[in-house]
Amino acid sequence: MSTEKAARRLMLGAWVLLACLGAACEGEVGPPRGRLDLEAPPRAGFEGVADALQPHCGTLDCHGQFMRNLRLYGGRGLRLDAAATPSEGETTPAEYEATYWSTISLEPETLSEVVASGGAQPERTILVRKARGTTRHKGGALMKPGDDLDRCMLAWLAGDNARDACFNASRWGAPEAP
Amino acid sequence: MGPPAPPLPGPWLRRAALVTLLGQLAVLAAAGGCNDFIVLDPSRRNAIAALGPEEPAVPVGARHRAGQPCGVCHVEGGTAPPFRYAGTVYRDSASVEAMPDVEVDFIDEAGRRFVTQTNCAGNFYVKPAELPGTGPVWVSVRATDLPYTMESPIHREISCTTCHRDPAGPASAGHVFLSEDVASGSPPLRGCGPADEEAR
Repeated sequence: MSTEKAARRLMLGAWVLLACLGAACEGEVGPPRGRLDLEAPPRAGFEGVADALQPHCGTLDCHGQFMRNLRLYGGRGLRLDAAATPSEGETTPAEYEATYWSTISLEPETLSEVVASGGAQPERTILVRKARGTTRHKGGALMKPGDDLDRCMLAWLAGDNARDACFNASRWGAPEAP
Repeated sequence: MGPPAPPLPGPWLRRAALVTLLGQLAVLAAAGGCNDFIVLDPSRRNAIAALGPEEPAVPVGARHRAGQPCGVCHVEGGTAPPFRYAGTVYRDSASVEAMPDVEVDFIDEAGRRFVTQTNCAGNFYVKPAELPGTGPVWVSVRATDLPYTMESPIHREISCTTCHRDPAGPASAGHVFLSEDVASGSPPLRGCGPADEEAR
């Protein structure tokens, strides 16, 4: 076979391959099919959960930042109102609302499955895995199974409200000096 | 006639030497010159560039770059010795007069404590070995009996300035200050003198 013939065959093969790839990429484009119904943990009582998250996760050097996908607002961290600062004022209703939507939008399908199963296997959510430090988390482990923040979060995922645990977690502060 | 000259290396050997030399030059160029052999990622390089030049009147050391984000350079793998925490303390929320001789008190979750003092430029720093661990840490500043305590813990940030920069806004609490009460009897301001040369 001459060199010219081989080159022609090679070029033909390349065109055939390109046509096959084009056909493989062809997909059905049209309007979205149906609607996706998801379950979310309760909005009622979320204020206590947000307050518990604030010192553990929502400080300005962690999730109290605009560039985070899990973005936590609060009176001691990132403010929603452009005129507010972290050094004054309580968390506003709008900030609780924004934190709620940010938290449930993180992994909606998985969160829905956990909520639908009454909070079973909460470690399915990245929210719990990151907070417990069982998946890579730059902020490390912020809660241990059974501690106040853990009980607060897990009760919320189960559609319940662990008010006392959430309150205690929100009061987290410096230990007594030895 | 003397002994015969040794044979010249073959062309492949000369080519290999040339390639090695060019490779070494490329590494030097990427490192930004002989004085700075640390290869930085572009975002870090940009952050360092954004700091601007040193103040000519302030020697490079513990008193330099007051109010700037220390952790841009003073970080593990950075261009200067790493700090765990560092910053500058000012007199009050309204003024940018740096406060010397302020106690900066850190305590971590395990109860480990480290206390340092601001120098004449208002700067302080904590080395990683002085407060080992990975946080969180609570901090207070004091010049009198009444400490001023930050309500939120520090989780991972080295530089106070990252969260405490001016002007205060939705994502910044404004500069670190000693007291909200201007007339609270804080120590007098003073300039830097010869005694401060050795201070940390």
